[in-house]
Amino acid sequence: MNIAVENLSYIYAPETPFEKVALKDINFTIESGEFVGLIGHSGSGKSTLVQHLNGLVKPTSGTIRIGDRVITGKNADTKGLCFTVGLVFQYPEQQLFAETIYQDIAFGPSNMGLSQTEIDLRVKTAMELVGLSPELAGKSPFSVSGGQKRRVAIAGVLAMEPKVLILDEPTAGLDPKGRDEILNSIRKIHKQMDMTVILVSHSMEDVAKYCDKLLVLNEGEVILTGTLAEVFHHADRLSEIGLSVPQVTLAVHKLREKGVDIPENIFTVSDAVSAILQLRG
Amino acid sequence: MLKDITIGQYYPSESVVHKLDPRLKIVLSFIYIVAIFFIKNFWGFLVLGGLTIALSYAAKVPMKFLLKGLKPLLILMTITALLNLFMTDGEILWKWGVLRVTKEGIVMSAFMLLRIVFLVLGTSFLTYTTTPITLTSGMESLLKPFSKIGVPAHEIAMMMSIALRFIPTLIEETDKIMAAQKARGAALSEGNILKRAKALVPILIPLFVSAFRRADELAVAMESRCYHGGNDRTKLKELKYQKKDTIALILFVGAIAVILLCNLLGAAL
Repeated sequence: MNIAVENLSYIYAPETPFEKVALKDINFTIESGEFVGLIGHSGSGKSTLVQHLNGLVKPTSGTIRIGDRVITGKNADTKGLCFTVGLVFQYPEQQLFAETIYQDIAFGPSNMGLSQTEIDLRVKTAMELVGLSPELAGKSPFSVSGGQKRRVAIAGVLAMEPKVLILDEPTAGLDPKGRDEILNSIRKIHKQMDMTVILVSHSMEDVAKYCDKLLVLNEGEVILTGTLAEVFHHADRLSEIGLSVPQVTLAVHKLREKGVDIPENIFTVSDAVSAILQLRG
Repeated sequence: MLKDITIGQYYPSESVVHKLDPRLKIVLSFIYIVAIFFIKNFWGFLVLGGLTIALSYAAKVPMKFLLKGLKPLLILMTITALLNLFMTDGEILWKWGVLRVTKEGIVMSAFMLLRIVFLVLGTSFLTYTTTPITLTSGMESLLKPFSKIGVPAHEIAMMMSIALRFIPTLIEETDKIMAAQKARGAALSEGNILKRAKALVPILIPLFVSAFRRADELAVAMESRCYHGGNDRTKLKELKYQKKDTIALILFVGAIAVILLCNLLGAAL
């Protein structure tokens, strides 16, 4: 599903001392099936932006197009949009509430008004997609490990079978193994379900490994957008706002400065390894 | 929706009222509450209204913000007004079945409404202009004399400051959980009362879980910094009663006197 955002601005708590311009004249497009990374500092407006995409927050001005739906202005009708654009919040395990994992994952689909058989099927599929074994279905979501809780929460969104999946820092607070597992599942889901995925992240390494396209946000403005190569080409601009390129890319840039003939667009360690091996013949 | 709850919030701005001694502000707030119940006619409320506007100007807290704090009390206010309107005996103006409106009822319900409004408006200045920390240190200082008869002054103050400190945190948390459940299609403001009550479960349970977790973490954090209650604790900012506090006190006493004098004015007219 295509997403187009035009001149989007959002002002938080207008006309109070807490007034803050959270988003300033945002423009970008995302094609169907893309895996997009959204990067920026905490407070750069990432979370506000993604909440616009599923209709939780309505624009102060500007337009958002999601497939055929057009969202304009404060009174836009966004009913049901959350089923098309699934949003997994930061620390999603904090939203778990039901007695069993099954019931928690079924919350979204039953809100959609689906039949019991369809709900059963969707819960099963979602659990499989995030790598939860079926016997966990009857357990309490509060009794499983932190990483598993997060999978349950992600499954709760996946079970709605959204066309677009947005994950707000899905790996925050996880150990490296848990992080890789979650991100690999997301990649698998992206391929299998043909979803458009937006991954909000702090980690340049993660977005370099998984995304095709990047969107860089700083103080409520999109400052860079494009493919990995296009964005990471601006290493200076990124470091100006306190972000950086992946460490391996930095190393490659240094090597090139020293006159080593290595291609510029290397963003993952494995690519670097093969490029260096090639150099050595 | 939760953004509307302004009671207990602090409104940051640089004003004289903000800088007054918290002990004075607490004591005056209590006197104010008592004084409100001594107002016998509308003249008193009229003067009080003027003074509230003046105070909002002095404290640099806009009236609009103050009035917003009344919003969560709308239901309570409506019920109070209706009860007084229909339940007061007197000269009947209008009658329909068991319902009857009396002249006294109208006066009474207007009176009660004004009382609630001014009670909330006036006392909310205390929290709007005092940071929770200053507020509790004032509270502690006021309670200290009672610690001789076994009142745990410091503990009470600490509990209050923690409770106050967590109001915004819990509101934020509730907002977040609500957003997360709405993202899964939770219908929070649809259907009958029973349905709405049920819709609260996915919000209340995570909220409780996180509140307990936070309480636990806070306790550990306090203990790991060797917190062990009130005795011999010193303060970074000692409270000082200054000249401006005396001026504020005089002004306040003057204002209360004027308001109470209005009772006589009402009797004379």
